Amino acid sequence: MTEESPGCTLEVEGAVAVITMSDPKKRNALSEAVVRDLEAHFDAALADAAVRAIVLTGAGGVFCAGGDISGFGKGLPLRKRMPHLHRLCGRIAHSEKPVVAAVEGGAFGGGLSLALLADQIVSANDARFCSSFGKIGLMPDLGLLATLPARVGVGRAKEIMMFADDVPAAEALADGLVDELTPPGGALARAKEIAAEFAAMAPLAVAYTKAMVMRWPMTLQQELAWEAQGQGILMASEDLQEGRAAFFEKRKPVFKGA
Amino acid sequence: MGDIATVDVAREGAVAILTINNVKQRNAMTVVVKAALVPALEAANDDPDVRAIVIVGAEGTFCAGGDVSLFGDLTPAKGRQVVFDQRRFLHLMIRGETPIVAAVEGFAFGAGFSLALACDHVVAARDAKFCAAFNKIGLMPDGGLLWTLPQRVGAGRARDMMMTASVVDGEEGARIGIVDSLTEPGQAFETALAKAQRLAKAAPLAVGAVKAAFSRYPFDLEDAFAMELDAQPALMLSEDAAEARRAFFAKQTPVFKGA
Repeated sequence: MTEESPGCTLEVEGAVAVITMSDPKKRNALSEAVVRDLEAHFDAALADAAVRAIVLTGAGGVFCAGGDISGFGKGLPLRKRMPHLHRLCGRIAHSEKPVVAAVEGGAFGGGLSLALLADQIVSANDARFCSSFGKIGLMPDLGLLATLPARVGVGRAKEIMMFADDVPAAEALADGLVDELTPPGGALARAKEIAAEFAAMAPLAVAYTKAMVMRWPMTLQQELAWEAQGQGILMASEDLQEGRAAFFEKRKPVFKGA
Repeated sequence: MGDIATVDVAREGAVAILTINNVKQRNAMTVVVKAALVPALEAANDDPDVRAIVIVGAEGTFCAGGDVSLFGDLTPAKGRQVVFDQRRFLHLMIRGETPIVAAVEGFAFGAGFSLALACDHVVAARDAKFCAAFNKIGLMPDGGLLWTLPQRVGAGRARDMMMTASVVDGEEGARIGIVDSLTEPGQAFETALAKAQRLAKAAPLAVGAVKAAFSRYPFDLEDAFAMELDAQPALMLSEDAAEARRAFFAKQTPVFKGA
């Protein structure tokens, strides 16, 4: 690369890391630079013990326009690139720190997929969502085939994927595709508040919960086996003692993830 | 022809219309109807010019369920055959790659409810009636309903509908996720045809990939990654993806051909 392509920025405010896709000229499309930086910043935020929650957002009033269409049409390069994209998806989905997506403008194609890998999604009430893959002859990717039906049910997921219509924010909220709406321009601030709430919770309990839910769908047998293992460890944690003490002393607990 | 139970097949452009025509028995899924449904679905799936299918019931009702008249002289072996026969058309509907839209007026009871939910998109009139009526005649749900219903409404609501055999109308169905498009009474077919025509214009291989994925439902996130890794590079090399890119940059509507 001869010149630095616009990628992403990382800011840490207290216990919350904010990762911003920052290529507004291309509406934060998933260029190589954006993907590279996303992965690096997720690694940094996950490695930083002071960070307890992560916000993912896009610069310039849009979340992410999806794949970089200029690179399409080359099947074999994609076959090679996709494991790399999946590695990024894994960073978000398997991050033991909760991830909150803050969506302004819209999340399209792969951008929608990225948002749905987050644990909570805050959206401006004028944003739009679209599984636009079908419009260009593709199937949904970056996990959307699993994450969308998990949120909205199979019937609605098929409708959103097969018709590829825009879903306005209000409809997305009613469907369960997003968790909360804000006035335009307010998504990031609200996402930071939610992330701060996550940051105050017992990190191990949050991590175990997230890790188990990410294995969905599961049989009851699996769930009971996993909860027995996880809960056994959490019962021995210092944070459980702190939570119990705070409860009886009628004060707020201070958790440390141990 | 009114007395003869069959499945009528018609074409409207790229959409095949399959009409369950067994009006005397409110379009019940008799052996004859099931036998007619199989070749009709096979032909529609195999015809590259058919890009979407509508399933509708004749004369204002979708399908009242299984063939109760058959139950008089049932043996366990015959009963097993009845359920086994059902699997043939369910496989064609769920594993086939052509999207299917149900147009529901009147009753979708028992096996009729299962038939509607085996479709990809359910259009129903406000006053249509859905019911997992099986336990009223001492049976468990069949026709794939144990798989399809909880996918749409969650396990709690599915249990309730299956255990109480409560009747859900179109409006409530839309609220809880059984119905994707709600219409005024008498309008379900027209809306279903319009939806099918839209699906017929979508890129067939891409729509087929979504159907193929959901035929394996439920799957976890890792399975989703594996499926997209297998199929997406091939779709990127398809003529339709090239056509979509050309149309995108030329600001035209793409014309897909399923290649």
